Amino acid sequence: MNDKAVPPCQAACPIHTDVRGYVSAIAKGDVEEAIRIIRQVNPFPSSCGRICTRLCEKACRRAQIDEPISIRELKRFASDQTLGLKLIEIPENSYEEKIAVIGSGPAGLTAAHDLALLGYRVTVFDSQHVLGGMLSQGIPDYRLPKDLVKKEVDNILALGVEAKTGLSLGQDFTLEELLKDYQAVFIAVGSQKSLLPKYNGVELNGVIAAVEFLKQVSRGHKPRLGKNIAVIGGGHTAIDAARTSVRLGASDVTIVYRRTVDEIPAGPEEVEHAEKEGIKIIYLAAPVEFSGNEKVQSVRFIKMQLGDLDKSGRRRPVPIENSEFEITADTVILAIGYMPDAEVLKESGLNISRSGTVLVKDYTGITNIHDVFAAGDVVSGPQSVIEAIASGRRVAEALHHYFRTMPDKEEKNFMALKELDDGIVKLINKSERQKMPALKVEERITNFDEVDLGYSKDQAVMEAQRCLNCGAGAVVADNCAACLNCVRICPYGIPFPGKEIAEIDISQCQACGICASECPASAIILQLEAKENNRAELEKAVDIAREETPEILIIGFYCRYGSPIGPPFDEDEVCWLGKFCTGRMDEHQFIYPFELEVDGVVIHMCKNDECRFRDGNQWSKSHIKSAKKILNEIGIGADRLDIISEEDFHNFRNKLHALGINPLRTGKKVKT
Amino acid sequence: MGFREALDSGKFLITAEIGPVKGTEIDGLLEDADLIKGKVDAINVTDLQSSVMRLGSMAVCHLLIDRGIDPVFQMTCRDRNRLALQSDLLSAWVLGIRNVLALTGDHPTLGDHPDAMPVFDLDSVSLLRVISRLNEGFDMTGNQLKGAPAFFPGAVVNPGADNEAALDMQIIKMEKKIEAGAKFFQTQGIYDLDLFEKFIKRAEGFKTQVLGGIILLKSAGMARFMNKNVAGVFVPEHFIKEMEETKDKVKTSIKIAAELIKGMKHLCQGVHIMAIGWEKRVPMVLEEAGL
Amino acid sequence: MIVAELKPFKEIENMLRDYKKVMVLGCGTCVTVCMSGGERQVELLASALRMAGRLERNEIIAGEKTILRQCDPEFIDQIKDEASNYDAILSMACGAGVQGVAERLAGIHILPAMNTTFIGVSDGQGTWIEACAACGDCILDRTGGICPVARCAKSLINGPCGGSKGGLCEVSKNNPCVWQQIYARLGKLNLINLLKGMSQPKTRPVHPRKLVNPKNAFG
Repeated sequence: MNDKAVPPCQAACPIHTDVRGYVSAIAKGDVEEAIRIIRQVNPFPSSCGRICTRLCEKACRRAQIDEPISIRELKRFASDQTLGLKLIEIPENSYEEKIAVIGSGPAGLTAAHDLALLGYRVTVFDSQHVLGGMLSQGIPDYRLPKDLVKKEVDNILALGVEAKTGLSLGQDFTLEELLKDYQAVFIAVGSQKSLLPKYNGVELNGVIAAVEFLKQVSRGHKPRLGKNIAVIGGGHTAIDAARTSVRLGASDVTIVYRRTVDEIPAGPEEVEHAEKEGIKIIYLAAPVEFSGNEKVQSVRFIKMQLGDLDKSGRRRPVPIENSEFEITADTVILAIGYMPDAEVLKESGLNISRSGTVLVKDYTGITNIHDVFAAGDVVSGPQSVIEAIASGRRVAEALHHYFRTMPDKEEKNFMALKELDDGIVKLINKSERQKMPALKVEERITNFDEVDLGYSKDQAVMEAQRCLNCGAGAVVADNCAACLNCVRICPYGIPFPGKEIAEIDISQCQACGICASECPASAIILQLEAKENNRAELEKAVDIAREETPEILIIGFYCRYGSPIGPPFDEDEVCWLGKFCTGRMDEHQFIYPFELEVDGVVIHMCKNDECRFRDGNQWSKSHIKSAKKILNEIGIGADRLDIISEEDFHNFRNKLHALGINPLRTGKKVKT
Repeated sequence: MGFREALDSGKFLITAEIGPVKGTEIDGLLEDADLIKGKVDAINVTDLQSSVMRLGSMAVCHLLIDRGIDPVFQMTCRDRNRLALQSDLLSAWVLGIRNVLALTGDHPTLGDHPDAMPVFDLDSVSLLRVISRLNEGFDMTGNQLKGAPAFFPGAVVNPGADNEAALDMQIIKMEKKIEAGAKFFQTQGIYDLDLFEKFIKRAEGFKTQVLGGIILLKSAGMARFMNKNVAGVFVPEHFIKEMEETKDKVKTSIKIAAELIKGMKHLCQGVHIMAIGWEKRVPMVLEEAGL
Repeated sequence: MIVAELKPFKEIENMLRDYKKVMVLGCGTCVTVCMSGGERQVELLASALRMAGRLERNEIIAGEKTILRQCDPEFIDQIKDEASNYDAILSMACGAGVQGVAERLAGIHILPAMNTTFIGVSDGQGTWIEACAACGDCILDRTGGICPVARCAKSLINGPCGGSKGGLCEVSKNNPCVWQQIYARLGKLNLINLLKGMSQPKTRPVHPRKLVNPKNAFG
């Protein structure tokens, strides 16, 4: 059994973000809790919320039913909603060691951030005057606004990290010099040197590299491109370059990619955006020659077809003979690949691989030079931002262990929960993914305003509620009496009789909680919603409500899935508590409020056919019926507890007012 | 001629049934008995019928003997353990009772003392065995009796069991009762002669004496009630309709009963008439049936 | 398994009238399985008793505890110290459990919260049926593994009475006639002939019964 397995999203995330944790916080409207969870492992939530390659979504099991959760958009929502929130305390300087970080991209800054939090003194060097590396220079504003990156960078600097900008390794300082002042140097200079193909004409004017082009634009330049632009490549940079060209006024932009739409690394959403903006994409073609007189005028391509698998597991494009064609181009933007600036690194004495990357021992980033560490793209070659953040985190931890002479931490193994069984998939209701609101094409192609507008609160909550809460379901404790009630009542048929106790395959459990509410030994714990938390939540709500309420205090429970936006209706006398399905509420949850001297309890349930968990309504009704019987017997009265719709509420209230306050309060001071 | 002799004589047998009252007022009961006397071969006296507490069967049987009527002492297993059953049988014998009908008995919850302990220490089959043993001069555990009775034991069967399995089990149990000593059978009320014939065919090989049950219909409502609530009784729709449409319920009731009796004549060895309060009308039924 | 059900609340309330501190004691075995006296029911009953007590101006402190089995002294010892803080223990076990606790904690008044009803088996979600009467004279070999002693209202052992209608028992009309079930089962097993065998009147046990395992109970 996958006892220690984590949700697939968390396993897939290079920094193993507790995705389920923050998504479920958003599902109940707790954005602060969400951002706290994100921020624990990621100093760049705003950036990642926009441009992350979201391995999590590729792993999301919701895709087995319909579409994955929009995890990235939810991260963006959490971060956008909490920009002013102070989440991290400025750390105390606990250690003497000083660490130099070269390169202020996500790898370098993440390491700086983590080390500062650990109590080290960190100085970040960058050849540019703006910090953030590719985040602040390589990605156009319409995808990632610079002010957001700056905010995230500033947050890191606010931890006491010192920045020295405009200083390049090799030119302005050497490793040797740094090692005199710093006890360790972390090299995270990235992999920004563009690879240029060796075709005829590549030296012509007008043939430019995408990264340099994007950097120029991000510094405020507006290069003259002409009318016809050919972009070669299929990565994010290629699409960024093409869309940037459109915004600079190019009327005819064509992307040429050598594989098909299925392989394009930029992904379907970026492609869709590009096409909407009028960009043509030619698949299965590669350039053979650039021609022109000093300045490029046209490119000749050859058509490709997909052949055998290559080392990366993708089908290798193979040229088709006699299939050449030509397109006119005033500018050709090459977005084919990148490598680190190997020369500088070599001169610094570092061992370098054939592809120009720095050779390191392992994830700790130890290089051949004592006290010099390296990680990020400079070690791995071009990778995603989240990979860079992950490598920064690992090196920071390794450095800490190194300085504190602690043994290397063993890499924690994040094993993903297995897939949902087909039988279970069929039982789960479909629910459409929320569409990201975006600027209309005509509103966006003339400027660099951010295209995606972000979810509204309602959208975010609804999207978050699509989450299946993988692995947060029911766990059977040792005091299971093996009554097998859970086996009999689970709407998904997941629990089964084990040798001694009932067992629940956590990988399949849908966390409806019905078994937990019905377990006679109270031996089933629903991780998502522990019993103690329920009790504490209720007690707190009653305390708060008591302060402000008038004579009669009513606690109202509603299903969050049924009313995602909030309580089903507003009533001054009702203090609402949202539940993820009221079917998981046991009888005690309905009678306990009365012990807290609440005067009435109402339950607003979903309609019969709308239950997310199939049987929830039936269980709610059964538990309420049983609780009413108890209330009757003890003399509180069954009429104080009821299932209601908005229309019934008036009746209920009148009845309650006629009954008066909870008899347990009689004799005590009642506000009038 | 007593019941046993009548049976041995091969004549078409007629028995009727009276139910003791709740209390000591027995004049009406005896009046009814006197009215039937001479027209029937024996009168059954029920044993706390429907589990309602009343005057006992043994005492009423004794009173009937005094009036020259041969009673069938109905004995259920509901209220007595094996000690009491055997002792009561000996008591019955010395009071002159000769015929015993062994029944399981209704459950106490159906009567007016629902919390009474249901005894059922023996069942009808083992009670019949006990009667046979007593006749042989021994009690259940093999102790010799000083003076033995010579009861004529009978039993009941429900030919109208409403499904194949139930009917099968009735037949199997009937066979067991015969093995345990039952000499005659009185049946539940019969309204469908075709079904009854099928049952008789199955029981043919048992070579026992069967008295077909006749329940006097008092109204259409009663018929419907029995159809709904009394196991093994099924009144066909045409009888119900007749009862509904008739101006003279008594006359029609008697006509139906007589019709059924005539139909049974060539199927079984006699009839057992359950008048349920209409005991006075039994002679008219017999007259109408030509008996 | 022993099946028991909660007594009417008023009866429990009356029992506890003279006590201020009551430990509501659940049992973690049979009554937990039949969902009437386990930890969850302890929580509910204790809560109900506290509220009812306050309404009656007889506030009681109702502690909540559940042990694995109240019929074993060693488990009862686990609550010995805690129990001494209470005036009474309200046991949610079967009658055996109540007596087990009363025997071991003789200084405290032990009260039964339950009526013990039968030895039963599960009959699907939330339902248990009586299956064994502990008669001490088993005849299941002849009845297709279905006990007429426990499951026939009249405990008939030689076939059904004539009262079954539509395959249901005439006494408790929601229950099937057990003899119909026996017939069906034996039919499946091709053993209908077993029904023709005469069953002798049963031997009756003398209470109290006792089981002594000689190899275990020496000395």
